[in-house]
Amino acid sequence: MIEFRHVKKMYERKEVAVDNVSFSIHEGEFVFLVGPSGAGKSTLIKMMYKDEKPSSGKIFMFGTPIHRLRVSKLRRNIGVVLQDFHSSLLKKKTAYENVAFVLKQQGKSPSFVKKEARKALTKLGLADKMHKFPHQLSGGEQQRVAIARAIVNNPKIIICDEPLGDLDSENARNVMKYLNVLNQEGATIVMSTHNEEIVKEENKRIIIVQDGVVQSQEEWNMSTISGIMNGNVPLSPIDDMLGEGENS
Amino acid sequence: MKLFWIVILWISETFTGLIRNMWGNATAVLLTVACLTLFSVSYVVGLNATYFSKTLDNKIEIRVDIKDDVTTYKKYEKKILNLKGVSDIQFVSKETAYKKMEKEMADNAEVLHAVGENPFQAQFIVRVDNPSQIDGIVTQIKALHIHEDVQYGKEYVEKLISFTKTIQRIGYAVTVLAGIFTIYIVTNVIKYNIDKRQDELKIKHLTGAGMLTIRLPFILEALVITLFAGVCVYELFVWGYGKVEEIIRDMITYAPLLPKEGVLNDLFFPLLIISLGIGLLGSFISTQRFIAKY
Repeated sequence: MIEFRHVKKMYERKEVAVDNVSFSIHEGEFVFLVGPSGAGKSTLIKMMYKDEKPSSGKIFMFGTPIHRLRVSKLRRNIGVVLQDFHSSLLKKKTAYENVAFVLKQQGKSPSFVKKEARKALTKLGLADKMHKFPHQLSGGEQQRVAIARAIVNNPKIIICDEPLGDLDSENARNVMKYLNVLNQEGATIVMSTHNEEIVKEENKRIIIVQDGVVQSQEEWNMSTISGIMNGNVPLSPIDDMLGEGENS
Repeated sequence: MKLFWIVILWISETFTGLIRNMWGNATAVLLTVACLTLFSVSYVVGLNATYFSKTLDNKIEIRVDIKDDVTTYKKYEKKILNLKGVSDIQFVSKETAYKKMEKEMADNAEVLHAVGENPFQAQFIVRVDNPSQIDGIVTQIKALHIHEDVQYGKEYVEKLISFTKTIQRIGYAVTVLAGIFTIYIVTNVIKYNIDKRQDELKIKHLTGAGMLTIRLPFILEALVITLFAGVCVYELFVWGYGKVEEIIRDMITYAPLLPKEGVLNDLFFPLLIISLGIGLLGSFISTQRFIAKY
């Protein structure tokens, strides 16, 4: 479904954000992308929805090289959820209008827009909040509106960049509950996060990004992952193991 | 059906944008009206100048005052008529010239009678095909040595036309400058409208709206602004041209001015094209520069 092959991303001034990254995400998977701040998680996520282009290497989405996909077409087939729901929701539009906005832009008929927007909001448990404005909703509810907007096109892939970042643990769990439902319904979900508790609780596949490089999941234990997410970064799994050995 | 709903969306977004920045858009309309008025005035002056010069071209004639000792008028009449570029010749005898003046002076004819002897010369009134050949024809007539004096209004006409054309050129130059300024204003108004809708644009980008869908409402906004300005200027001419024509005719009865209907017909398409051009160019610059691309 999503495949990165030796992908490298360099920004201006030759700063390497992602270096020779390869991984695959299969249909129906729910994958966490974890790593300390500045590790390259957001760059990887942005490359998935073509907000950034790789400097070298290849990315495949739905089995097609991403450079062959038109951005608008790609984004209509994936749902993107960002951390900053405050600015990603339109303040002067209700929850329903925010979700309907996407379908209207695609020239869908009013009856279709009404049906699908209601369906998406109901799926996210917001049936009774449809006509509320963002400022009348809690942070978790606002993020769920953003997710409803992302799924209103029934995408097969949902890409979430730190969607729990601004939420308290209760709201974060609530959002996770709905993402799990969507995953069970068949959506492939990729989510970058800093939320250690959620990563531990969910027990999903984890892709660890450190200094722009993807580490092999098998070689890490959960406490090391916590260390990475907190920015207490060992240089490599071998150093980590050596460190453990010295301490013991 | 999809296209229908997209068009409805474009129209609704266009008018939402126009209402959101009502004052900015009103300012843009006013400035565009000023620019288009300058253009239209220059254009109409140009139309009238051309019409004026054509009218005068038809009226340009050479008046040859014939020496008293020349009697073989018919011979010279034929010679002049055979000159290249001469379209017509008319002989006016001393007596006819006197009677004509007597008639024109009417009540004041006594002054003429007081002169006593007929002071007029016999004349040839020569008409030419093309005023640009007039110099050559005059030289050839003078070479016949039958003239006491040769008069024609070419210099006067040329000066008048040159003056009108200078005014027209200044008008066009001012229009170009005003046009550039108006494009700058339209560009900035659309930039402001884009800035006001950055949140919407971000979501449109994120959810895969097409670039045309994103840009078109702004282009339509600019076109509505400049077309509305164009309509205002046209209406200004519908109302004002007749009045100006009336004022000029009060001052110069036989002023060769184009009729209102003809002017309005000739003005319509250039005004439409300039209005659309300013709108398209202004919005194109804005949408290219200020809307992020995929």
